[in-house]
Amino acid sequence: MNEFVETLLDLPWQVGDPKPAYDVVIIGAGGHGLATAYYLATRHGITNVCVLDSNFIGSGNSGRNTTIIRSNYGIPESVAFYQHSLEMYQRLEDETGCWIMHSQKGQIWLAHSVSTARTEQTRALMNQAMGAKTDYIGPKEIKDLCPQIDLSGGGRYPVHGASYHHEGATARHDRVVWAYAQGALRAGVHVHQHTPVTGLLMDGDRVTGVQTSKGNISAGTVISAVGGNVTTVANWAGVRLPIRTHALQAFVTNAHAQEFAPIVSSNDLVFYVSQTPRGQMLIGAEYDRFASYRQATSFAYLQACSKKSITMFPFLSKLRIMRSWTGICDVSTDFSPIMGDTGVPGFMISTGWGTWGFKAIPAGGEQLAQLVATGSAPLIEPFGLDRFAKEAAMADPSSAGTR
Amino acid sequence: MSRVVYDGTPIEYEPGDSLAIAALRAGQHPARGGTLCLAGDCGNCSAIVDGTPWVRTCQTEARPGAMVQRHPNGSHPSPGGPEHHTQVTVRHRSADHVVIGNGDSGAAAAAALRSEGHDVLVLDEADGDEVVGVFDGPSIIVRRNDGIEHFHVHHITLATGAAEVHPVCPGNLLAGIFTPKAAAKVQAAGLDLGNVVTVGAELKAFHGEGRVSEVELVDGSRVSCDNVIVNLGSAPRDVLARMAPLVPVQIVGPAAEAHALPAAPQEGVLCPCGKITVEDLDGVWNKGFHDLELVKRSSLCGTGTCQGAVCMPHLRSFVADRSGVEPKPFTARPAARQVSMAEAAAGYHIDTFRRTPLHGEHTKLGATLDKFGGWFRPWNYGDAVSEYWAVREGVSLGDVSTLGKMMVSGPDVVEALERLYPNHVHDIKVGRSRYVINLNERGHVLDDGMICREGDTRFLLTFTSGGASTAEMWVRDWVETWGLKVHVLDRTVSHGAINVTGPLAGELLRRAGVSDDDRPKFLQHRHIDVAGIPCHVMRLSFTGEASFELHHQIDQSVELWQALMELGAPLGIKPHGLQALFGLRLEKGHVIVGQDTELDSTPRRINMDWAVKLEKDAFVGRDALIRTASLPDERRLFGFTMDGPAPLEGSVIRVNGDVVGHVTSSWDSPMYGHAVLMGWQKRLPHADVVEIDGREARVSAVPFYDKEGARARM
Amino acid sequence: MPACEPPRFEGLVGWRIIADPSALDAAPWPAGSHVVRISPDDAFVIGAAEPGVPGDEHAIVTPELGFAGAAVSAEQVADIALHHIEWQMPTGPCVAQGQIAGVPSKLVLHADGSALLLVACAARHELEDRLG
Repeated sequence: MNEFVETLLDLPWQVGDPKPAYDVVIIGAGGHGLATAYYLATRHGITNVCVLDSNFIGSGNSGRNTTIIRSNYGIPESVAFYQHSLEMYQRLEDETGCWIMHSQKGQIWLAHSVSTARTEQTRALMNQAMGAKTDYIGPKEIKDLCPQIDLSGGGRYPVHGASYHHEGATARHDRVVWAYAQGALRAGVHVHQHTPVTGLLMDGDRVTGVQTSKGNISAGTVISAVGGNVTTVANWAGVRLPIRTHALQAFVTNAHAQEFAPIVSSNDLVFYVSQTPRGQMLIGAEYDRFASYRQATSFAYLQACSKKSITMFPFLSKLRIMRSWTGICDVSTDFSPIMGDTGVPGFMISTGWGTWGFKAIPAGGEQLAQLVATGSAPLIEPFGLDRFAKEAAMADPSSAGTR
Repeated sequence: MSRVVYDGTPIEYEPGDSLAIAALRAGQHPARGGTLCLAGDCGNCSAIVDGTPWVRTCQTEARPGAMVQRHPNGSHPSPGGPEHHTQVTVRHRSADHVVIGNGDSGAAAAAALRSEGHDVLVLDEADGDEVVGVFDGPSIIVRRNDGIEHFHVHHITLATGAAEVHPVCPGNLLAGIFTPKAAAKVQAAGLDLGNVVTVGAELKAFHGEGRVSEVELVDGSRVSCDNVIVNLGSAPRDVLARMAPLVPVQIVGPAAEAHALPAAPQEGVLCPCGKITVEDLDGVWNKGFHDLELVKRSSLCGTGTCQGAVCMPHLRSFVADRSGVEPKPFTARPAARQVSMAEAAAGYHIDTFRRTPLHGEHTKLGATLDKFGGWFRPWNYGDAVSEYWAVREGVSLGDVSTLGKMMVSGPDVVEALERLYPNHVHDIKVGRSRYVINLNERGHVLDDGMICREGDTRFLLTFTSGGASTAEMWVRDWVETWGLKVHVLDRTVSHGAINVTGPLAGELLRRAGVSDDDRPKFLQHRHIDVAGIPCHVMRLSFTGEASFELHHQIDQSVELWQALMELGAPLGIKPHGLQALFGLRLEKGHVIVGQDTELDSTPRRINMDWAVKLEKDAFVGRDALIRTASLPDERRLFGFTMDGPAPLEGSVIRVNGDVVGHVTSSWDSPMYGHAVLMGWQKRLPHADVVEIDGREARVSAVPFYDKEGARARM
Repeated sequence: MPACEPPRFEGLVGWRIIADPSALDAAPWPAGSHVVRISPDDAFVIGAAEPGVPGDEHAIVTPELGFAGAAVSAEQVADIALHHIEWQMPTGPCVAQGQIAGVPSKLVLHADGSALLLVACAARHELEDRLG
């Protein structure tokens, strides 16, 4: 058996259909849904929990991202939250016993103009103040960290500087999902794949359970951890979300031997490049401008993204594109997640993960579980849905890694 | 015979040979081993061709001097050769009907369409057309050795046939194993396969050192051979159909037919790209990974360079055997045939940099130009501080051609502007101007600018350089939503604008032929000649000094600039760049939307309630402002002063050690000898003294400079 | 790459008129002027003489010097379309607008396949570089 297979842990599935009632039902068995279940069970002893998915575990955005872990956000609340998540990722292999292929690479966020240099400098200063390790660095240091870069940007996009996020990392996305799945299953959580939720059970204005392809299931608390169709699910409860859904594409090249150490992003050009442990170059860019639920790739995207990346990294020109994919991102109006109560009793959400959901899985799950169990989770309190009515947006457009 | 270089050794080839055939002709496996299909489906003949790794040598025609290298054994290949700016030709074409595949089914489909009178284009790999993908549109991307082709099409017929099934058994990575069609191609090229054995489902294993010398059958017998042909049937080559589920394509021939899956694999490498074995699949299955997709993701079978073309029939057969249910094939994604990133990028331009009509003048003056809002603009002309003093003490020119400039006219124009802007519009007299902000429906500041009244039903609107590109859309969207009759002309790029600013600005205009009587007063605007050039002169001030914006036709920008520079020389005129301008306006407390504001900044938060008249009946954002007016006033932009040096923009602002915001603008004021700043406090109560960069800063009323605004009116 | 001569641009002198579509339809254009109808309410009238639009008292009529133009032959149009235009080319006479080599441009297509290629002066250098 190869190392990748040998190191997988068992998924101890239950046999049979879901029970008619649980304390907590979570819709969506992606990273966030499973992590929430895992922490409910392991931190709070709440094990009468069921996670439902219309497809297989991790079939949505959890397995359709660019696997980047970082905390270099632009507002204090976000830096604190994502830094906590980043540190949880650093410990996740020890905690779960699962090899998630965590690899600290450092992230370079390039600026090619005076105005974006200001943004990156602002990012570095805010990160430092909030406990994330980020410095503003100049072209020479960038070249040292990533010799493959063309600092002239093909003559059009000269590099002014960058913010350098020392603890930026990657991990294998699927293995994060499985780490939480096996941990949750082992702790007694029920996970049912291929069990689409088709509606919510309501008692007056209270959500009391879910309708599924396998019958109704009542629940003390229902949590939506779905990606892509969250507005539909929320609408069942009469909750309107400031969310628009867009497709985000990415691709990998064939494997090759170039040693490309860091993650590199560009603020002006909007793309990001890293090399996977399997040698592929993994490249992403901004989400499609138009709203869509389609998980189809477009050639226009491959074209734009290729052009941007070879402009900064000419060695990429000759690498061949092997596979592209698309996730659908729920983007909130302030580019920050929405977590916690919805104003409808019995119904919570974890959404607005836009293009930054993967990095938030540990902290998002942990905090939401804490909120369910104890009624309080200070790290995510600023990210409640009620912030929009209170005019307290967590506006952070420059940190999305996309625009 | 011509020659190519294979792993450093010249080998000869016949005309028409692919690189794979050329290698076989020289007695070599084109890669390092594995079944050859010679149809472009598998990755088993991949090599580095002219510096590009992972090229299917079976699909690449041998050309004189081609440099081919095998991928290194046990590690990944590297790209090589010249890297920079690989030029690839792109061609955009249209076609009505496209048939992909010119085999029996494709030829029949094409003939049938032609007999119905359709124009038909047939794409086939034998002609060098490798279809990368079928996309929305519908469109088809085709890779050729001489470039990449983007097709707009109306109808697509897929006749891609079937791919032959590769053997999965011990020894299947040896050289000397061919599918039947591959063997036929090799023999058609005139190569002798020697003692060749044909086997089917009775195959158990291959034996040999490096290449196959013996075939073992399930009955335990062994047959010695030079080469083996393995006939295990085929599977639909339908990847293009599976990758574009919503693109209407018709599939014909073997690509559309049901094919029986091969027998469940027992032993050996299933996925030659990743060297994934049957044992690996058993491993993940036994650990609970049962969906086809989960088996794939957990074992990585099917995630290599051929994207499952080889392993998928076996993988499906494996899952069918273990679960009792035959799974559907997994999702297909572009690229069906690979393209290099240079090929994919061909024809794309990231963005367009615009130049003002004065670009050449700035270059001549030694300006450092930088990109702002899609324009090249002067950051400084070498010394921002002396540019600053020219504005504060003398006269200076600034190129503000990038400002958004829009003419609006019509019977409903006053009504439209009243609804668009939170300030009053109806009482602006002809010849007068007013500063305005614009809001979105949430009451958040989008942009700012001026309204100049040209006539009863005609106005000129200005927007910031950054806001100009979306201004027309914003105005038109609302005007059309309301059904008002307003003509809109965005003339941002048709008109140049030069800001003449400084206490001697009036004197410079006098020398340029503008009499004191003709010179507009503060917040007036007039059409007058300046240095003989017709200008629309707007009197306002961003720098804090007397300022005249001279709007003019762009063909006269250079003449106007040069005339003013010459007339201003005795006054010590200097142009100023954005760096000085940002400092000048900061001393006046003027915000830059996007730098000092956030995407949810209400007028109150940036101390601009004075520009909002809630008593008006209706304007965009009014309802939101009324709703939020009673909310706690937590987030506010403040002016601060502190001892120099000025902290970096972006420095955090702390109160009692807690981060409450950050510095949005910062400048060592040459006038005051200390730093002036703007920044946020987002927590109540707002403090009078804060900590920035480890030092004390004090909240200060803005503007810092000329609080009465007398200088702008001079 | 392109087999044809690259287009040669020059600054155009003309008038920009925004008016009711019906007024533009009926406007008596000055002799010798060439009218490019950019949209139903928007006309670019190439020529020095100031046009009038009697049918719309609110019409905006203003000198327009913001465009550079190049007369391109049918062969040049075909060559530009082949290499630089992602969208499907209509058949003239008509005005087509879209990105050419990534630069927002307009093609005033004539019946014989030749055209007038228009670009904003601010982006002219980019289009020249990319078509050259």
